[in-house]
Amino acid sequence: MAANSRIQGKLNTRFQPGKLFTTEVLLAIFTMLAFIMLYSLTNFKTEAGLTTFLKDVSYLLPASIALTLIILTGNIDISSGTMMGLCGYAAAYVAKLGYDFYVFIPVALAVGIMLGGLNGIIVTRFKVPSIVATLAMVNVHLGLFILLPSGGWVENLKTNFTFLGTTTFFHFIPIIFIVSLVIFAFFLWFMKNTRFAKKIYAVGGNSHAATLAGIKPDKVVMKLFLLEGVLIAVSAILFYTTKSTVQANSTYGMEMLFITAAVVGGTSIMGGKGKLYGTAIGVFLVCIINRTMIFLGFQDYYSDAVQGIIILLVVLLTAVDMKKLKRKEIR
Amino acid sequence: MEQVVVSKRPKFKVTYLMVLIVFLLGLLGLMASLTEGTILKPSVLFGLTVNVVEIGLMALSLTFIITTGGIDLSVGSIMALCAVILGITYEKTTNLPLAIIACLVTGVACGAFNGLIIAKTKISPLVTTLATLSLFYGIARIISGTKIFSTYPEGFKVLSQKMLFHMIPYQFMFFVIVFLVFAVFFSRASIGRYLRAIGHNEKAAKFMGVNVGATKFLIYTLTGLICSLSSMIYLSRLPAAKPDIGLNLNLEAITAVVLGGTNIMGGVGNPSGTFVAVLLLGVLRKGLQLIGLGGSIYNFILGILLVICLIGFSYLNNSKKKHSRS
Repeated sequence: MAANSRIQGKLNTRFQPGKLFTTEVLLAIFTMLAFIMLYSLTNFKTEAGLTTFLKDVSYLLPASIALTLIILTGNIDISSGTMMGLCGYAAAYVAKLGYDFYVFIPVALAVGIMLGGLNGIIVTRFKVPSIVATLAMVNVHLGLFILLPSGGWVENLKTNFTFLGTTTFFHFIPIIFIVSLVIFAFFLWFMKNTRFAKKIYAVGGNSHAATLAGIKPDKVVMKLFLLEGVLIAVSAILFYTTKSTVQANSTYGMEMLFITAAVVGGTSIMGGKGKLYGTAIGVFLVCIINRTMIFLGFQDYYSDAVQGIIILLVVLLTAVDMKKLKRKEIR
Repeated sequence: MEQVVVSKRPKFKVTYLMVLIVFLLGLLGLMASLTEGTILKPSVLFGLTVNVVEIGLMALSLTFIITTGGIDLSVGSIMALCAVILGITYEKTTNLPLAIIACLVTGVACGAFNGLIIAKTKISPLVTTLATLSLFYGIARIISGTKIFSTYPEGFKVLSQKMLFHMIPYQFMFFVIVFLVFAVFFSRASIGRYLRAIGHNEKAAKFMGVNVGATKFLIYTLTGLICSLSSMIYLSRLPAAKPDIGLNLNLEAITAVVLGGTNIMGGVGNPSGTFVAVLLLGVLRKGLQLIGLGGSIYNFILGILLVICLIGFSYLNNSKKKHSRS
């Protein structure tokens, strides 16, 4: 940690365009500009538009936090989208039977922990690279959708399920936004004040050094996968309770949004570097880009290409940055 | 310690290939008993080889990439993009050679784009190709919109309809030839050794005099080319170019490579294993089709198969070495 800050201190004496771009400050300014543009461009002024936007933000935030934590350790989870679908389906299935939120939320959490734990065991116990393991799990999940009763659909959900997603404060702040803000605040505190957070950075920065310092990387990663399961389940509930029909495969592909948000927010894809508030800014940016594209009349399939380009650009810029850092270090 | 591992490897490889072939025959027997022998008819048996050619070609070039410790998740998207480009060029100009050239150029350009980023910037291949996966898929969707390009000249379909001795399809012959070329290059040419060297220890390979960047660039570009060839073979069989033909192909190709005995961590590659594994997947898919189970069950089984393979291989590697590569 100390060495890192020393290098950074040395570097800060010179102007670095690539470095400046990746700083969260500039991102925040960019987000605000985009927000203003969107605000003046669209029917965003209406309360309904704002509510839809906040709903998008609120279900993306916990999952993006989860992905950020996973990416911080140098792992990745591309099965998070389908995992979310399974969690949401489980919750909806239980809610359809007539149970209230104090039953279906724990069910979703349990499913999330199970699936996250499965990923974690495959990655940590058997040393399988996380991207391949979770790529395989995507297909296992997609297969499960077919095996589920009624093909992964739950229709005509009553208010016992949807009240959470449709209740709003002052007619425009959805309650789910408050929930996700609370989660975000908790994790900000968590990353700042706990020993576990330090371990995450240590494992991501240099796994071998972390081992020598008495940290068990596998244990940290395993715990993170379990935590990710919980957060994905929360995201699933925030996402699906806004709808009266739950379709398990509607979140397939959403993992790219989470990864984009995390990477845009400055989380290094190689692990060890990243901030949670960066991720929050990334979430806002992703939502704004999606909304703007919809309002400007682009078809939804443009978003795939745009996401790919964004990830590539950011990753390229950070790579250029890293190269410079390394060169300085050697000198 | 490394010495011991290296000396043991050839022995392991040979036995694993045998195990795989036995497994293939066993699966064939199982499917034959489940379908009451339908799958053993020559027309069906050689017919199923047609379906695996595209996956097989991709899996072969992926074997090279995975041997270097990299991965290419964007193969399916490149193939879809090439198919769409071929379709749209032919529809606009009705000039088949031009369309084919456009398709090949697209494939090479996509592969080179991947290769350039991976070789030049040291970004991990999986992130790069995960991003280009959605990038190429998105471009294909933007180009095609909701249209499906399905008009092709008669001459284009000839490839898929002619058979050698009225039995062996030409595509399969092509696949076998490509496989032989790849296998020879992998085991006999210096490039094969370079690939394994890079997979084992990139830095050591560099000091050994291997041009790591150029080698990586070459194999990713080769994969792009192979993908465009696959897209043409696909279109000659099913003349409908649309962007989602490539979805999940990356999983299938990676499963074939891993099942074939190539180490996902790099360093150990096995083109022959990939070849047998591709046939195995073809038998599995055709068998499930004949039994009457849909494509999603196949994907489900594929996912589970990949997980089991990964776990099994890493267990074998770990028990051999005690310490995992980190």
